Amino acid sequence: MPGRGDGMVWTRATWRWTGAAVVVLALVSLVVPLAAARRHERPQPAGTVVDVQLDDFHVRRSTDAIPAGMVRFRLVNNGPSTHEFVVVRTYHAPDKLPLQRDGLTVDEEKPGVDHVDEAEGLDIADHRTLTMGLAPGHYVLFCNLEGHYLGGMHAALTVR
Amino acid sequence: MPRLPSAKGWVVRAAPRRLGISRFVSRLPILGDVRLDRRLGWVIPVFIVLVTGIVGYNAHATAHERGSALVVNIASRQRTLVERYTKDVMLVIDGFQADPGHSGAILRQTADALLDGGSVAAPQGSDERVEIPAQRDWKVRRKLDQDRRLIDDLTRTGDELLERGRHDPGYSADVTRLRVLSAQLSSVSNDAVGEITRHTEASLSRLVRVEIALGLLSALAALAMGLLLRRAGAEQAAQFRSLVHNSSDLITVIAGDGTIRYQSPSVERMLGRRAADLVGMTLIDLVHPDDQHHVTAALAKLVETQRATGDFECRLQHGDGSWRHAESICTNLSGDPRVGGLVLNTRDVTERTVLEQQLTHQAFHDPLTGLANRALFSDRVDHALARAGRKGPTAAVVFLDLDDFKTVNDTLGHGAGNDLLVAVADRIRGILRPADTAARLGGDEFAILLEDVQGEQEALSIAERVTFALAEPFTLEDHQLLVRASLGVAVAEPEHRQADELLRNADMAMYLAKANGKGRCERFDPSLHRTLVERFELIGDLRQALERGQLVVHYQPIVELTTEEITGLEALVRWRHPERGTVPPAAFIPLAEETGLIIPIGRWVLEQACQQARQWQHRTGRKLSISINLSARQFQDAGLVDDVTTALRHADLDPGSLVLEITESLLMHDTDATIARLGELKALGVRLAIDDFGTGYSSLSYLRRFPVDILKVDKSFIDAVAGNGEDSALARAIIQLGHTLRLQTVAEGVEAPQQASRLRTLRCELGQGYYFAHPLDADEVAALLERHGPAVALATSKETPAG
Repeated sequence: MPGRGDGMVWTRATWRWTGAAVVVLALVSLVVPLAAARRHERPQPAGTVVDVQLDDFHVRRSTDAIPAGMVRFRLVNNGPSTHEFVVVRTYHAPDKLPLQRDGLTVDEEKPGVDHVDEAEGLDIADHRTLTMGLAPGHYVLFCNLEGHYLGGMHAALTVR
Repeated sequence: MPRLPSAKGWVVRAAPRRLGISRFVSRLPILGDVRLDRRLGWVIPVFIVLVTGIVGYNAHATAHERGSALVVNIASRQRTLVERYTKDVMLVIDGFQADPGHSGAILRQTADALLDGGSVAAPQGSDERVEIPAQRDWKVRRKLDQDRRLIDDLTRTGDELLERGRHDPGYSADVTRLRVLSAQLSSVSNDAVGEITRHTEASLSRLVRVEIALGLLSALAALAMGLLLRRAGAEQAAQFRSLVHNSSDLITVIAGDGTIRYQSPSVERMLGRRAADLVGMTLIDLVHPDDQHHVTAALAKLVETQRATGDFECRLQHGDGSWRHAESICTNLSGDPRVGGLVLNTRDVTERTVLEQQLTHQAFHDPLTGLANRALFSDRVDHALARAGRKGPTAAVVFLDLDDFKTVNDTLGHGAGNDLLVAVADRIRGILRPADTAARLGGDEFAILLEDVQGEQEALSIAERVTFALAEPFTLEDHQLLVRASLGVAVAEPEHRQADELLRNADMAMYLAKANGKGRCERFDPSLHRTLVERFELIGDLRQALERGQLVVHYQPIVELTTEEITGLEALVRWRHPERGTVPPAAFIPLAEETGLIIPIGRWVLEQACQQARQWQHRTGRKLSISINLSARQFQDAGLVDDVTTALRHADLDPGSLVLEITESLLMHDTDATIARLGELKALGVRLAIDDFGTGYSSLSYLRRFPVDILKVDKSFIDAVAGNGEDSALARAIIQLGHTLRLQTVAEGVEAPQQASRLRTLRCELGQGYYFAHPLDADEVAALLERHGPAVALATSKETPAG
């Protein structure tokens, strides 16, 4: 056969290097498109960003007044309990929201309490972003799990 | 470096360097005959580790699952305990009987145990306590820690509420706080339970994944092990097939009835047959008829016992009809389902067998003539004696010894001697019956065993046939040679049980034939034994006679016939035996000749006679000659010339005074060696006389060819010289011949004055005999010479004793 006698000799080392090259190429071909896809998926920053830290039993936000428009709440639950994050527009004071009949949770259906949006099931160390359009007004941010609101887990937010 | 078989043939591979574990694994007894290579050695421990891991992991997962379920159960109970505590506080405030302290204590205790592990009351509410493990997941721990802090707040709030009472201004706020804390605890407890459950599920999920992975790996390892085992088995099977196919030995599997079920291809090389043709045949069909019985017996014995092994030798028929010697080792593997028969491993031992037969033949046959040797002959005689009955046919032995064979060796060389032995053997072989055995016992000795002879006469008849067969001249190297043999015959008697005895008897009879003049056959007679014993005793005495001074030399005067003056003396040896008296020369000279003692005796006589002659010459002042007889053996002795020279020098005797007498038979072989020896003696200056002329192979040619000086006319002619018969004419002719050839003539055995007178008429020069003088001892001769008298006076006066 032509080239058989004078061609490259396929030694064991040659096989190893060839195998390693194939594996590297396969990894590169897998990782590069994923990285590119991730870059494309990441949304561009839009509206006002409010960083919110939830813990037992407080809601700490980076600001108490923001301009109207699109608002991005970047939520972090420091725990240790699981919490939820509820945004309502209301004229009630943050600690005077109407309660349900159990006396332990806010009644989000009551007149004067306008439920805007919420994020549920934020476990400890969870990060989540909640984006919504807020018109000018008075808002309360709170956790409505049993006893959490009454434990002090609420904060006011003014949208101008 | 091991040579391993591969698909491409035999290749040399480096010995695999195995680690301890793989070497250990490769020797596991469960593997049986399968030999693992390095790869397989690693697969098995991996497989074992994986299986062990799965089992261990399963146990761990089960324990973990059980522990997690217990933790979830106990954590779930916290919510109930919180509600009970809150209710107990409110009941106490409302004035009812309750123990919120106990509920709070259980709450705290349980919260501590959930977080850090410990003993808690069993969830089913009995007095039994259970151990729960500490939680290690950080999320779970954070939640349980929060749970514990809330419980502390709850119980503290409860305690404060109990202290305040319903009418305290802060009562309402405390109740609200109690409810809020209770709700928070419920939430946190649920949250913790959820987290524990999720964590447990995640752990279980991981366990399942790990187990699946381990299972898959185990399956892969098992698959790899199976494949490698199969490959190893296949390689070994291929190796075994290769060995079987390329082995020079035959591998045969036969059924219990002897039918060949498998035959290795090597049968084509060994027996020139195709393996396929043999399958279905019975093994016995290939075996030589003479071997079939013992092969059948050997196989039948093996069939009886499982795994029994035996061996046998037999001859197997080659495809070309010839027979090959084979050696088989047979093992009964009929109980092994993979074999199901008797396995024969057969090796071609034809060359070895032939070599053994050759060696055996050489061990029992004379390599020169091909006849039996002494060992085989003795064995045959033993068997013949064992068969011979007291009545009816018996056995006989003919002992044969060639006469004067040494002369043939000495004159024609050993090559011719060997040729003669071969020719003699052929003639003997030619006249024997099939049952008889001829043997060469050594040198020129042959023996013939005659089986089933009716008696001595038949044995003698066969011996006579042998004599006739040898009477025809043999042609050796252009020489026509007349060979005579002396034969002795001995017939087995009932008392004969040993071959040696019969052989000895035949030997003695042959000895008698030799003693009686050779060229004849004698039969063994019991009296012969005594005769020969005496003969051997006489030989023994003769060996010592010289040392003990028992030999003496007598001298018989030789006279000039015309003047009757003593001109010389013939030396004659005498043996004075201390017990037997004087032994005549005819009784001991042949023995001396036969035993070789004639050489030292002759040398001694030569010395004695020369010194005596010189002494007499010195005393008398006369030139007396001294005549000494030389035997054939002396003449052939390489030291003869030196002995003569030494004797002459010791005696200071003139060589011309010495006359050496030789017989006609000695000159029979007209060879260069004889001429050379006579020439050497003549060169010394001695004179040569032919003794007993006319009795042997009288030939005019040797008188011309050999440097002879004197003719001694035999007494048989002299006895008749005085008459008118033919013998008288012969005597005249001989004397005339001496004149013609210018040889001095000596008349032997002159005993009468008429004979002396007639001899003088015939102009015979010298004479000796009792008429002139008997043989005399040295002193008598000295006295005779002193007297200066004519010798004839001594003869006529009869003063001299007989010699």
